[in-house]
Amino acid sequence: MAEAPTPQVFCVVTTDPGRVVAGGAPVFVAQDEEEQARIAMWLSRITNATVHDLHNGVFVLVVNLPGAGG
Amino acid sequence: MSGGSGPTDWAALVVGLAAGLAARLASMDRERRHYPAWPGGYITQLTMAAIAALIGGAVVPALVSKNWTAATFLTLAATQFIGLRQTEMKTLQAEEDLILVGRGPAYIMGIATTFESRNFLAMLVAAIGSLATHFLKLDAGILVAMVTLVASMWFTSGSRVGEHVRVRQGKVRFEKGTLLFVDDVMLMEVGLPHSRERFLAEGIGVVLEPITQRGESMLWNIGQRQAIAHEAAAAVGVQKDIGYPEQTPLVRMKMPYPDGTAALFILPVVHDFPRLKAAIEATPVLESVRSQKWPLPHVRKREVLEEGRSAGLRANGPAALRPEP
Repeated sequence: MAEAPTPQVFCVVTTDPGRVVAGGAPVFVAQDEEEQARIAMWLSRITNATVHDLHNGVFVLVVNLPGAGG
Repeated sequence: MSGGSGPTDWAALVVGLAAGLAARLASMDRERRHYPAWPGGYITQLTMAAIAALIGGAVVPALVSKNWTAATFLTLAATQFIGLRQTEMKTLQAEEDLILVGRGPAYIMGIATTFESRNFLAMLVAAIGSLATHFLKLDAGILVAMVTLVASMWFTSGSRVGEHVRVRQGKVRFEKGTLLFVDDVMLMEVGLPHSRERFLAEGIGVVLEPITQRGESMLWNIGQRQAIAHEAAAAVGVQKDIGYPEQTPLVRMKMPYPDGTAALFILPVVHDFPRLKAAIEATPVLESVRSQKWPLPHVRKREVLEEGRSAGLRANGPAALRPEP
């Protein structure tokens, strides 16, 4: 918690590759929503990144330090 | 105090020592949460308290008996206490990476400062006690020492979050599928369906409503919110580990139409709201917020609520937050 890094999109999990243009973060393409949620959860547990749903079939995994200061 | 040119005033020294030690012990008992509770921590503090009280109690007899060397050495010892704050701060900062819900830099600073000042307070109480004993009679000195002791306890008891904020339970719900709300305060976006189910089943939502102006400025302070989150997690536990970032307890203000209300969401181990409430209410108000009385966003709040004219705020917020009847 001592040093707060800049929030960074660590990777992207999508069911619709057309919605994402690769630009720095790795993109994982899932078959369906169930697989998308599963991949996102695994990546989150592995990397300690927070999963956010952009409501267009794209999940982004964001690395920042959680907490009230967030 | 041997080697001095006058007789040593043992009564003054003993009264001062006792008063100083009592002052430190009293604050240790009241503020146990602030402080490492394992035996080592207590012994260190007791030792430091005894040294501080001895310094305070010995200064007056030493000066009166014209023992300048002793008096000078005692002031040198006093400078040691300044180093304590640094040590304490370093310890807490190092611990920060190893605890799941951090205290935050503001809270750590407050704890360290309080710790340092308590030793000086013990010294001061001891000095006053021994001064009174030396120049008045023994019984009058004891009386003065006791009054000083009580006064020191009264002056140093800081205010608590519960004095400025009303704490009540709120309903945890999701809006638009993924936005976590506690009552009408939006906290965060939760992407994982699995986490959302768990939040609904096991989470506790707490609404923090300021009842004083200071309460509102307190909630706008991020450091204070982190302190509240830390105390909440310490009280009821938190289902979290490395790899579960979304399960960290969060305190957020009601946005984008701020009215000073904040909400806390926590995924507790012990589902005990009264305990959680008590812990939040007992969280100390941080030093950095104490002097701040008027919250800055207050000015904007009226502007936003009266006309809702700020297009930016309107566009950014979820539709449900718009203050229409």
